[in-house]
Amino acid sequence: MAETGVPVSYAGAPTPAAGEVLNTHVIPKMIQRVLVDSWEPAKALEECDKRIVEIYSRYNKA
Amino acid sequence: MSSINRRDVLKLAGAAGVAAMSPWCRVGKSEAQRAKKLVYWHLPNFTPLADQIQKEQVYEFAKQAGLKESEVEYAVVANEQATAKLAASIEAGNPPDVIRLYESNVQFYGSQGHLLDVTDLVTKMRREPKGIFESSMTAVMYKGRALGVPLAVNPWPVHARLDLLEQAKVEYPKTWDEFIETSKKIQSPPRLYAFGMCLGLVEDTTDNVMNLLWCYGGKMVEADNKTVVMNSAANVAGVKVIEAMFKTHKIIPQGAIAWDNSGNNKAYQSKQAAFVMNPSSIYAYLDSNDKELQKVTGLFPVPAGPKGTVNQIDTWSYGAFKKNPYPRAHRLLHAARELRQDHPVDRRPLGAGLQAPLRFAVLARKARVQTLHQHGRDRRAGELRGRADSRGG
Repeated sequence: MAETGVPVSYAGAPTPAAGEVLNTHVIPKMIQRVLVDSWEPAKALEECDKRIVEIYSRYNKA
Repeated sequence: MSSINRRDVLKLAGAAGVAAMSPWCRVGKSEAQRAKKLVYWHLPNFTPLADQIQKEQVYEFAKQAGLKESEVEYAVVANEQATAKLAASIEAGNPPDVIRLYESNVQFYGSQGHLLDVTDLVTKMRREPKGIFESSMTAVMYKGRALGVPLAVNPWPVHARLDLLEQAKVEYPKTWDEFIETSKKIQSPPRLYAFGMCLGLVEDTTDNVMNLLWCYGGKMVEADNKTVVMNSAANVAGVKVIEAMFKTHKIIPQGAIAWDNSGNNKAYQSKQAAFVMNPSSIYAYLDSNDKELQKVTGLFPVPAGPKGTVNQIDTWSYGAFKKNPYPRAHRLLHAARELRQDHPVDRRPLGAGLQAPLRFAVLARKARVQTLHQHGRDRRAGELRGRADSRGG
């Protein structure tokens, strides 16, 4: 397991953007859209994707 | 000769009040107070023994760095509060000297210029006989410099109740489809749910959700660290599986949506969940607190999805903040390096937050581990095995 394990930012590496995604709970909010707010998975993932794109874009511009 | 009237007194008092409340004044005061202590923020491991030994380590590091015990402030900060509390302390110009940082938080705070460059220290550690796991290096590097010191490497196995599997006459599931069917056979809600999947607004949820999505071919971002791929058919498939487990099959407790990072630990440790995906801190906790449950606990790879089995590994690191009035922080980290060479606590079953060789030894010696990969493919694997082998693990 330790031989082939990947970081939570997989397939990306640990980066400042990955850190902000983790700290702002973007993915937990996505899954709660589905489980609590009864959104369709595709809609929840679309919202989640936009948020992560915004975060990564900001850091990649810097 | 001038005279001071009531209006002048009020003006002076007002000016003094404004000065006292201004941010620069408060920062200056807090820095003056901070100069008396080396402040270490500890984020709990969920394993009391690990917390205790880590505290001993910090004081030992400080001693080696020439500090008196009274010069060290060891503060415990709840994982869920750490981000907000750290942001506030940075804003006030008063962060801790040293803190445990999870994964990409090294890059997150490092990119903002807050962390000390510890490349010299990490370079020395890499060259030493016991070295640093190469895969951990990605967790501390930013723009070619090391901004953190790797402290622990954690695999995330599935902790599984072997006794319940045996009672139901079923094997540990190899796929997520099997996992759902097996779960329905072994659970007895509301007392016992099969899957203690963390679903609260906390880091463990990101870990648990992404781990399942990987098995369905999903991911958050491509290896270029630019192309976000969250909105994919593979991720939709994986999320639908989680939705079905929660709503249709009801193998996840409803309360999991409000769990903090310790929720899945507590669910397993109190026998309210039969499976959890978590670092082996749970196994280590059982080693100290519940030998009976430990005997019937197995550690397994995550079940496979259409794209196979993918397992998570994370790294915790020491980070030292630049904005502190106590330059001995760097010395403390060097002392940590020296102590690490001796590994005086490696034989104790600590679990999360401490060094991987120790944890691996715990897994290899005591747990019923299903091994997927017999041959290591990177240096870290070789080092892990070598260290375990060298001490009879």
